[in-house]
Amino acid sequence: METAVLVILGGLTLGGMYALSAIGLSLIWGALGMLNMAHGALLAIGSYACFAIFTYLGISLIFAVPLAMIAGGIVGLAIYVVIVRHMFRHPSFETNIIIATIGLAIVSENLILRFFGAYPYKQPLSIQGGFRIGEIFVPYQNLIILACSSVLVAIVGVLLQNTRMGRAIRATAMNKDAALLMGVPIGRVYAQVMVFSGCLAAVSGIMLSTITTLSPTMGDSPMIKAFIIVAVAGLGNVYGAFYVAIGLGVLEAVFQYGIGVRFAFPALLLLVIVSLIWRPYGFFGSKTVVRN
Amino acid sequence: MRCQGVTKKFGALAAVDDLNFTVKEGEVLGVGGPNGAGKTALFDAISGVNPSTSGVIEFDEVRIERMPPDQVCSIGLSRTFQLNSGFDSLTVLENLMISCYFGASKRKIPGAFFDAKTRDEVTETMEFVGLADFAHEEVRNLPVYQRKLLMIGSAMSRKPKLLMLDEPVGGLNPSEIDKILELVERISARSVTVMLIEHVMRFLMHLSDRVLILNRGRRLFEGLPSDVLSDRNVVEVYLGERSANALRSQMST
Amino acid sequence: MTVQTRPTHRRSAASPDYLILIALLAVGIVLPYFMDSRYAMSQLTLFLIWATVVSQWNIVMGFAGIFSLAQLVLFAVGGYTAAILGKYFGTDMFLGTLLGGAAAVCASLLIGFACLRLRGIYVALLTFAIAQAAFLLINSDTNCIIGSGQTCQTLTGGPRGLSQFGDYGFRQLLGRNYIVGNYYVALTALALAVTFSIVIVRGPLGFAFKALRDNETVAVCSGINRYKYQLLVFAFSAFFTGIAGGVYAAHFKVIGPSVLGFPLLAFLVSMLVVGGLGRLWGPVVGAALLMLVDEQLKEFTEYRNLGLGAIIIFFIVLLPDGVAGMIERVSKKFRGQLGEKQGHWGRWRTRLGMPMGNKLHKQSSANS
Repeated sequence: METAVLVILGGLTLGGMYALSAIGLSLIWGALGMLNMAHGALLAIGSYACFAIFTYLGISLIFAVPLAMIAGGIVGLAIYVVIVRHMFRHPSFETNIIIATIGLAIVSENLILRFFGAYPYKQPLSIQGGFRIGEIFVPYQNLIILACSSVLVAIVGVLLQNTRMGRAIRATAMNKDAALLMGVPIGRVYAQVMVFSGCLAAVSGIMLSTITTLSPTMGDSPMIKAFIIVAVAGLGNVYGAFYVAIGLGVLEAVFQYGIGVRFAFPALLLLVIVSLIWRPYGFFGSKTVVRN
Repeated sequence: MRCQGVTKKFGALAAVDDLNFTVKEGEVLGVGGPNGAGKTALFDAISGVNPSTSGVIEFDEVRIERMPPDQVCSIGLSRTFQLNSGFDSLTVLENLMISCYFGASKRKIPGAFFDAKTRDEVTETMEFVGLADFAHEEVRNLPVYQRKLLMIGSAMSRKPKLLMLDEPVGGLNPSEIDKILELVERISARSVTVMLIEHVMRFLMHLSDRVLILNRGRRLFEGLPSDVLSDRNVVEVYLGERSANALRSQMST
Repeated sequence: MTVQTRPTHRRSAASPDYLILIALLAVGIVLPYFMDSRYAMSQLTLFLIWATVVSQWNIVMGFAGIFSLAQLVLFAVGGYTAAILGKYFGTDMFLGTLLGGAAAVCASLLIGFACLRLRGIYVALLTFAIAQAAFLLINSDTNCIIGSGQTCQTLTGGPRGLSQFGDYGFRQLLGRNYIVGNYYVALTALALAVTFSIVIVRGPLGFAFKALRDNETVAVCSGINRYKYQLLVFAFSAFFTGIAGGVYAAHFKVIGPSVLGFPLLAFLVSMLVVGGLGRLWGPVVGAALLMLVDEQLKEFTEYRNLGLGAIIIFFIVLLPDGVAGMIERVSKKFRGQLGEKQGHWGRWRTRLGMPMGNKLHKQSSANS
């Protein structure tokens, strides 16, 4: 019984972390049809920004987090201006952008390494303590991560559903050419999405780093999990991504307990591949043609 | 080929609705009907491009309604498209080579070169449809008429038993229509069964042994071309009184 | 009208590539006689190995349209197979290399079966995840298969990798110059790999993939089965990639999980992009350029990866066709003078309703 609770609790925390990493990615994928291999780098940039603003500039955390978000947004905008803007009309945008963002990930990882070194700093923003259910200790931090991810998902969902910007984003996601013909300024939509997902990634990165430590490559592993989640959830479905993230988190915790930490990820991957062969559009995805 | 209860649904809309018909060996079956009648959806369902929701499609006693398009092609059923589709960055010759090499027989593992047999057959096809002068032209530079020829040529180079033409003369001028008409007659003379969709009624009526008129995914008329114009439904729903009269006078001359 | 299709089609498309291959091969064969530095020979061998890998990756990604990020997994499978066989069974490294190629084919079929039914972006993320999983599995390998504690030897050697599994045995044969032996083995591998590339790119399969890219629906209706042919190309290219892995292991006498790491991925991707993705000779050009640049910047190793990242971004954004594409465009411009005239001539004839003669429109089909 106690192990079961422990496993599920661990799974929920993992799921919350994955959901955090997946939101920004899902948005970019859904709206721009681009697989952002630099998403992990964005996570790292956000959390280092928060760390640096607090530690070096001595600005209170209440302001440090929004400032880090702004920094994330600026980086997102920079990615749009320097890279995406020149590429999204190219016929092989989908594949070229993957390569470009691989380059970007390498650059930003190495820049962080230059400036901060590889020392595993602790994120100053973390809440100590927790409470007990019976014998089990539940840290507040884990709950905050879960809460934070649900709030962010809700915000993104509402923004997409109820605002003018959200409608433009959804229109672009459905059909780029038609949206262009209908007068949707695609370039601006792309820029907005990049900024928005930069902000989201910054928050996600900060939250992720509160229970691990800072490192230039801290975003890589969450990013891969996020890829899988977004693929399983289906193209650009933010709510779906949240449910899948929680589900896969719990599943991974169960695997870790059942067959060991080492094989948990490969087993998860295998499961995901099988499920994708079975349902190639993802479980919540709209029917965009993915197969022949 | 036999179609039984073929239905294709897009959401709640049935583009093809419980359709039954047969195509007899060697005949030319013309398919007509207003826009959105489900003609192309029917072709897509038969050729496997966009499989039917339900129903049975049989070709040479083989069930094909769930076959992927490449397999449908390899058992001898080959189609053209409404839009001028070809492989734009390749030349006419290369287009035909690809069609012939991959479409005419089922290949397990492709070889290192196009074989002599393919080249001979493609040369023959080019002469047959009249594209020999355009062999090295890139398809994206081709005029409309030659593109239509290329589509028919590509389909023919797959050596089909049943050739399905989707609007083979859409957008052509009368003299070009006549040339295609003559080409389809020559194809039919090679004992290839032909099924064709066309809005140009003159073309449809002239070529077809039988005519099938669809409306809203259902059969409106099936029978001899000479009876089409006297069918009240067809005239009302599809042709309209005036063009029916015009056609009647054309046919009688 | 006479149709001069037969001779033009085959010869004009294929033979320049084979001529280039033979010329390069000749240079490659005589090169060791002008080299007396062992270091240079070793670097040249490494160049040949990377060129082999990248040429196959290019076939998979640039021509067959499979966005695989697991190419280095296949490389690792080849290398580890040769190393494991050599270490635990004393298998000869030549045989081990071939078996490494075979093992890579098996791996590619597994990966292909799992991923290739999906497309584009999904293939990219799944193969990337598979590469990460493979890296983690090897890196966290702690199950001793021989000994325990201090003498513990895991199957894959874990993070330290495998060593002491033998080599091609050129040391006994050639003494100090044994690297020349490895060099020729690598050269053979590259020559075979490039021959395979030419066959794919210039043969029916290459056209099938072009057709799929131009118009998938029509291609499929012409009897082209995307999944089957992609799997076929993926498996064949895996063979040469696996061989390259075996040659790598035998040459360096060590193989570790770093072959699955991000820095090597970045290095090879930049070769692909700089050379020109989807250009037959791009990978060879790219590998040569990147090896040269890397050699020049050896003093600045801490900036190496930063520079690689910047190079990748620069090329994919501004020169997505790479150096090979650039060369092609320049050479087209030379021929362009003529081509331009033909264009006008052709349009003029159409306007007058005259047929276009094929002699005027001999577009070279070597446009990839």
